[in-house]
Amino acid sequence: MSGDLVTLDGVTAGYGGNAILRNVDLHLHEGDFMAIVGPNGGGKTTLFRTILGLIEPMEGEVSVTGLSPSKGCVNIGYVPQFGSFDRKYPVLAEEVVAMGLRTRQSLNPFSGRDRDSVRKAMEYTGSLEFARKRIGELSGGQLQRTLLARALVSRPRILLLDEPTASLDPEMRSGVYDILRDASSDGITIMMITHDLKGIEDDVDRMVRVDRTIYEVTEDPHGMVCGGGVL
Amino acid sequence: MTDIIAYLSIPLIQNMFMATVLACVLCGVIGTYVVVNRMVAVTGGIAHTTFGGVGFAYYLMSVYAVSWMTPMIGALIFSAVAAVIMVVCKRIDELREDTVIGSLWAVGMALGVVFMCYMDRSVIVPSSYESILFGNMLLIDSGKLCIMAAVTAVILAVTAFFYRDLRIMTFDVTHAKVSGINVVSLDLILHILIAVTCVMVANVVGIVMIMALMTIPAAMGNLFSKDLKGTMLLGTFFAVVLSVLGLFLSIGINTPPGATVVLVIGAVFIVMLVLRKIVSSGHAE
Repeated sequence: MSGDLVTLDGVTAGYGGNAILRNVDLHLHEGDFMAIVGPNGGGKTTLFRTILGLIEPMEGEVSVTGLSPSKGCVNIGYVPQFGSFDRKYPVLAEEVVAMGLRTRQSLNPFSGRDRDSVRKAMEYTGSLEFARKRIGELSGGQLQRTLLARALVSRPRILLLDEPTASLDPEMRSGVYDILRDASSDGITIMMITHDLKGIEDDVDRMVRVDRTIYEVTEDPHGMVCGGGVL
Repeated sequence: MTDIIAYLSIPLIQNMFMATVLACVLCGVIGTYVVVNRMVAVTGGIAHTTFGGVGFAYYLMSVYAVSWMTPMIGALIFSAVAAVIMVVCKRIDELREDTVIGSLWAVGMALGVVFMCYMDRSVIVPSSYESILFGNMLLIDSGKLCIMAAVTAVILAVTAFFYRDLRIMTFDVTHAKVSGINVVSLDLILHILIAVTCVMVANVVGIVMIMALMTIPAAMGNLFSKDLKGTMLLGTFFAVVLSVLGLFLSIGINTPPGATVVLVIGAVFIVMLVLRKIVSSGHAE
């Protein structure tokens, strides 16, 4: 807990002049594994989009690693919601992972170091075996591992995940959680939107409920889950 | 056979073949972005707007003697303006993209008709509506061919330069934004590339059939390739081979070349889809 990597102070944000989130204060500490829960339409994804600099807050301040979101998001690896892109797109799994590299230059081919980074990220997430498969040929679990590799390939300090286990069966979900555990123990700060903490509740150390604003923060997610609390 | 060889020795026929190959290369590359990014309607809108540019050029040439304003330049200006309008209107919440496309499509055609109505036909005899809309490859002279070659080289160079960023944006625009790619500028570049390609391809198959060349070969490539580059290469291969085949067929059976090319490509695509369906259901059993 040596410092805050993400800070939101009095943030109001939304779309087209309509505020979805109101007056949000949130501090993500270095090393945190934070779960974001709450009802659909409560503003969880809006919270992420604000942190990523995809939408400007109407009020308040956002900082990512002490920088504005547009500059600080180079320190973020982002795993979007399942189905946020076209699975019929002609692209290989390893090419998707390479899209996460920050050293990309338009005319320069990827260096050996870049290729090595892609291979390591795919090894880390257990996706190397289907590196040469087209994205549409991957199962849900394989696709999620690929997206995790894309988010991790540039060695980010923060990992934002938007419902990474939605529509996965328990076995696939467990595989994704194993990767997140490893990432957390390797010092990566994690913020994850989820509807289901089962299987990861012992590893999550802070839980936030978002419903138009930040409702509750608990340091004991395990107790909340077992007690049938906020979920 | 002797007839075909005699035909091929005519410079205008040679120009027709070379222009077709250039258009096919562009369609294989830019058409791939059109197909994977579901921009077929965008392409149709831009393509039909070029008719307004052609009419505008004829009007300026005949009434105001603006000699540099050729139909191709008029088409380039109108298609580029249509591309810019589409990108700008995407940012306006109140407007749906298909509304903008449909409006530009119809207004572009209407402007073309009106401009050609007011042009002075005693000064310039314009190409017929038929040849503008459905193509007349025999109108491609050496000068036009040189322009097509130069523009093709520029389009390929720009596409190569932005290849990786274009791939990221067309695959996952949110990731592109988070990666720091200026998606508004890049989207504009992609629309302009499509606009210029439409004008080049219109020389070969006319305005109405641009969409066939811009989409079908790339869609064929997408059936067999696992990645974007492979789709572009295969799309170009199918476009060139089938178009040349269509040209020979049109000479052999004396049909309009542009329409024959489109019919050959369309027929082969249908056969491919049917065979693929049969093969995949065979695997399933």
